[in-house]
Amino acid sequence: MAHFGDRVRLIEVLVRQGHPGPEVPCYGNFEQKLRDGYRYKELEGIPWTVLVDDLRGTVHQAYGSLADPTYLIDNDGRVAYYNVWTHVPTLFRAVQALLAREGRGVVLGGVDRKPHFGATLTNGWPALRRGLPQSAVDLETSVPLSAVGPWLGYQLRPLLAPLTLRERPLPRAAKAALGAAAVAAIMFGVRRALRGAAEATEAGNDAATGDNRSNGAAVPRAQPLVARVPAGVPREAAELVARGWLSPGAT
Amino acid sequence: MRIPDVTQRLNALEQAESAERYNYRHFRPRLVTGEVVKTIEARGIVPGEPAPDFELPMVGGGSWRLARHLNPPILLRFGSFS
Repeated sequence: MAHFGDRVRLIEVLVRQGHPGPEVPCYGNFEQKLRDGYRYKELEGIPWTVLVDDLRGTVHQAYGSLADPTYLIDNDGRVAYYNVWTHVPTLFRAVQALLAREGRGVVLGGVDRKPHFGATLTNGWPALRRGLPQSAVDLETSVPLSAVGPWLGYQLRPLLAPLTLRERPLPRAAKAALGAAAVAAIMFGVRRALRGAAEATEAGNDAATGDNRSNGAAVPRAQPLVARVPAGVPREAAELVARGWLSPGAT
Repeated sequence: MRIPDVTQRLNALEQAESAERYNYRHFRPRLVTGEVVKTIEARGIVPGEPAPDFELPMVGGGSWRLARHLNPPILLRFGSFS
């Protein structure tokens, strides 16, 4: 939020271990937690103020005990807005809206409960890595692929970061282009799937009519069953003959 | 304006957890379920209500109290080391 300078103040409260592990066990006393506060600020290179909640998480629990929230508090000390799942571009818009009304009141409807996981997928691995192997095993057991996702996202960080770790909201034209690309990708996938299904059906028909592909010879497309029966034979009887349920002489 | 204290608010919460339960040893599916419910119900402070006041130790020394820093607006984030 460097864009806003000193017109907004960022404060972070360190809460419980989200994904405990052998090197980062759940807190048993406040000294452990305070020590992690110092490590957290140093390892993550955090320039803003970091506070350390008490062992019971009194502040965290009083503010809803959410996993990844950020509140925007106005000049009167009231909640102007909050993300249930932190999303910086949305907060950017909320701060802009709050400053436009002299720092008071509820903005953008007050709450955003959308599960924004893009930043966590791209940048969540370093925190999860601290608790390995237990953190990943616990997470995968609870939600399959939820540990693999951040690992993969972290490997692809240079590619994803411009999209998932941006500070400002995407311009409308970029959103429209991304939407169009997503629709095109879905349509491409659907067409591929339909074509695959059609080919599988065709192969099944060939097998039913006795075509043999094992000799490597070019196989002609399967003809409709009725078309192979001599002309002049009633259509229903022709179908029965073709299926081998009726001898040709019987027609 | 009277600003409620976090301790008052915590004591009034039905879902308040003990230190042992709050500091879980393993991340379990019940936590995922809990987060889904909290997301759907948006279980944070209702927008427009006073943000509960608190005072906590700062990394680097000293303490920080919300009620003393109300202008300019504050982005209050909750983060974890792991």
